[in-house]
Amino acid sequence: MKKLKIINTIRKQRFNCNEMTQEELAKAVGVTRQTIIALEANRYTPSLALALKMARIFKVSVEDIFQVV
Amino acid sequence: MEGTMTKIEKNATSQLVLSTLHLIVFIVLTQFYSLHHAFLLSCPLFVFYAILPFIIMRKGKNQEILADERDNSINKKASTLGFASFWVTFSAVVTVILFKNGTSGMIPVFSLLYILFGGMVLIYTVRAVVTLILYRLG
Repeated sequence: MKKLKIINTIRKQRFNCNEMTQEELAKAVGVTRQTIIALEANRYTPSLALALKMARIFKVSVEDIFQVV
Repeated sequence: MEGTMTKIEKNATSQLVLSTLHLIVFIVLTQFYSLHHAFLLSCPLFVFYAILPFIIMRKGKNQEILADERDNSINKKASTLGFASFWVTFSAVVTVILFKNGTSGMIPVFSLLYILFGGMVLIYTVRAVVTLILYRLG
């Protein structure tokens, strides 16, 4: 089975959310800044819990942040 | 390079440096002493394998999160591969010894120590290398 590629709009959402920094987002969702960097570069797919936390921080749905390509 | 290193990355780098240093010390010692004595003289370095993670992984002033889900996932994969490499090597060495000496043959106790301590260095080295590679890949 072909592995699904998941892309995200975290960078855009951060910008929309008062230009939140990677450090601020990392602290808000309880991960390291390096993980946010990896996420934005689409090098890492987060757990469901982390995706939901981000959706809550950005006040959008998970689908608005993560899309399957 | 993007961002700074995480604590897990720093730990992996220090372990890689330590195991490389250990091998260099051992090789240098074999030039002056017998293999047996070189091994014994390099043994105290094993203490650092135990101490280093505690020094590296201590909490800093600014960095509250030491490891998140990505770090734990990478650490788990690296540890699994490290132990797998040890078991593959250990099985290969034991098989060679059995073929060479036969099932009734004996090997010196020190040979087992070499295998076990060498295996420790192998686990740490493989784990550190895999950790650093996985951090680069994602």
